[in-house]
Amino acid sequence: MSSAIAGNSGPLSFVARVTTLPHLTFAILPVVGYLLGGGIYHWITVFVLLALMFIDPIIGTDDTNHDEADEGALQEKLFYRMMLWVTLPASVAVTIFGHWLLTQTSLTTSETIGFLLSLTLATGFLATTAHELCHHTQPVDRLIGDLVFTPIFMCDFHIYHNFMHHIHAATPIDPGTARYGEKIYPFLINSIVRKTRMAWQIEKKRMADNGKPTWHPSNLMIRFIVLQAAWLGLLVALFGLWSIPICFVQYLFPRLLLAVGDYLEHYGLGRKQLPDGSYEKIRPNHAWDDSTLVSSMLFCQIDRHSDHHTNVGRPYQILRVMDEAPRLPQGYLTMIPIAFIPSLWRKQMHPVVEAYYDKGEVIPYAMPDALPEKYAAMVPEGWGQTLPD
Amino acid sequence: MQKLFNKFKNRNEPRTATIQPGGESFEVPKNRTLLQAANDKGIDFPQHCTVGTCGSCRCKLLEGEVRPLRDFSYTLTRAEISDGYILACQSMLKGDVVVELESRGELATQPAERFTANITSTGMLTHDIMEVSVQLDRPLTYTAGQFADLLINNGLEGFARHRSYSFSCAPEVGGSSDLSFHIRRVSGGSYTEWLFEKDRTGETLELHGPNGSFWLRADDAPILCIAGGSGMAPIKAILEEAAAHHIKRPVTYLFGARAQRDLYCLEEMQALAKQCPTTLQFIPILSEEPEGSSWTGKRGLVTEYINPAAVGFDLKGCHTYLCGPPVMIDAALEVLECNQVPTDHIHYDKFLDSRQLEIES
Repeated sequence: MSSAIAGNSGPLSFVARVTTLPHLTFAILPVVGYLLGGGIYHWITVFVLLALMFIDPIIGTDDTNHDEADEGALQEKLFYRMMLWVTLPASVAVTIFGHWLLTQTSLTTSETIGFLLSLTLATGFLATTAHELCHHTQPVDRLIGDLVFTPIFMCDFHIYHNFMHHIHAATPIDPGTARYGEKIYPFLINSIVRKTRMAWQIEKKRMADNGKPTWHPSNLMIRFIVLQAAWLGLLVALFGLWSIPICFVQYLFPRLLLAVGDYLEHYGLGRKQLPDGSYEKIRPNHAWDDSTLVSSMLFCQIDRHSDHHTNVGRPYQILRVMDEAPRLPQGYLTMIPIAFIPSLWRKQMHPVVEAYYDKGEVIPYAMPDALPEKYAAMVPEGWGQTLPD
Repeated sequence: MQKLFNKFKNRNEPRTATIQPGGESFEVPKNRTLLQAANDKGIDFPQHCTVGTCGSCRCKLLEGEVRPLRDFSYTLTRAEISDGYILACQSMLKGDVVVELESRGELATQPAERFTANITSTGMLTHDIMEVSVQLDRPLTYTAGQFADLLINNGLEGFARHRSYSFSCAPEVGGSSDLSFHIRRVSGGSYTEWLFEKDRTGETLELHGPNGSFWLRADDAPILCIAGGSGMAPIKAILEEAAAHHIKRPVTYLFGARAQRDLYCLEEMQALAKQCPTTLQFIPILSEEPEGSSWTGKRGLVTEYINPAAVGFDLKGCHTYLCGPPVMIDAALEVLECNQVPTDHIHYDKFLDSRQLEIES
């Protein structure tokens, strides 16, 4: 895990050095648990994740930004793309192995739960590498991204995320932006349902714009459904009907993971509205940044979120920590469990959000009546009343 | 069969893209998008997300065919697509193309407007050159290399005439409200004396711009920049923009000054050179630095360094951008002519003459 992997001599963040090795390790762990004899070892990925969550705040941040001089070379380096590509065979292999083990061998209840969670974590965190691929310019990368999304049935995310979230984040149009005071549970349900619906709407509109019917083979949502149904069909053919509930768990976890990610990433941040009703261009101020080393590692550096939004074309290895961006009080691996306890979340997050509002860089985006009066006065009259097309 | 063979053979040949208005042409390698190739050549092409979602790099395809990497209809409307609009960041060229960049037309022909400019800070760059930063009442769109007229509107005699100064930073996407200029003190001139007399932070100026046609032309050719005195500003803006787009053309920048106390922006230039380690070299040259001083760099006149050995590439094929006192420009033009640099590849802003001389009326 040295810089030799990346073949670069300048400063590099830890994630830019290890790239997707943590994801690949997660993908191998369920197999390792099996090879170690099963039993408690089937819980191995869960234990590793818990250990990582425990050490995340202790290890702290990695604020290393690469030299600008290295940027062009780092951006073009094939190595970083290849490390994303190899997550595809990893994802397919561990899923097939997992379905085989769960359906074709006899496991105790504890082993079943432990292994199912391990499998879900292994494929679930790969959603972050698929996310990265679906931003790439190269069609082959985007295709691989879709295929990595397939075992977790998340292909529609590709469409919503590129053509809705990245255009409308930090505005009321985006269901992936959480409001100040918004509770996590209704947010998750609303966000997950609306994201898929929006992906449909985007494709439907595109088909109409191209003069084609909605149910047309070039509709990506249709292609994704066929692709995911074929995958499900293959698993059922190989391992029987029990594959269906396993797939459902594999489907649910990464959705939740990325939806909680969304909850953290833009919580309470709103963009100014221009006289014509549109919103100002997204700035680093419109996303919460984090550079906690262990969290960054599991999320493919996506927690350097301000740079990701300000410069969508920047691949993961050159995402930078932005000085002007607001900072989450803790890393993703700490903030995610905290988000599920609303009172704790408010206690941790609200003082930080309010202190950031005091800087006057963003419009407070909040639930009705949730904002203290002082901050409610910062929201211009009629802000956010522009609705999507 | 022969046709098919030719088609296969031609697949790997680089294409040529031409941008209108202006007719600048550049080569697009087969594995680069139109936007990537434009950035490689340091062409000022509007862009933001670079992944086909924001529409900033929208341009009109006048001739030729492109293959979209991602369907344009995610971002462009049906009407735009039927009118021939494409996204440069998602376009692979099927053959040679001609595209029209409306923003470029606007930039080139955009009539200058009046702005109110508040001085937000001033700072000395050398003993006689000051950086003046201003904030405008609204964003101004310009191209790196252009200039603005600044008018001190204090009602006093001698101030009615404006002075022209180049924007010293690369422009921001969507226009910049915060601008800065390099202003050289002219002793006895009421305009600059007023500026240098005391801290003018908070004073209001009138700004008229953008003006000028001094900007980086698209090409593959190496670039030779030559500047002296406050001629640093437009070259700095051009190079900042080029570096931000990871320019792949070799660039040599000869900067002439009298002595060490006249040198400035060295850190910025070194940072740029570091940003483009293989392409950009910055060479400061001092003409009147005392012998035996601490200066270890080049000495003499910039014109003595306009030769292939010093700049690192053949001068015949290079493009040159000049900005500085007229004496320096004239001398440089002579040397460039001797080195057979074609006239249409030599760029300097005619306005710079009076600006650099700062003849006070």
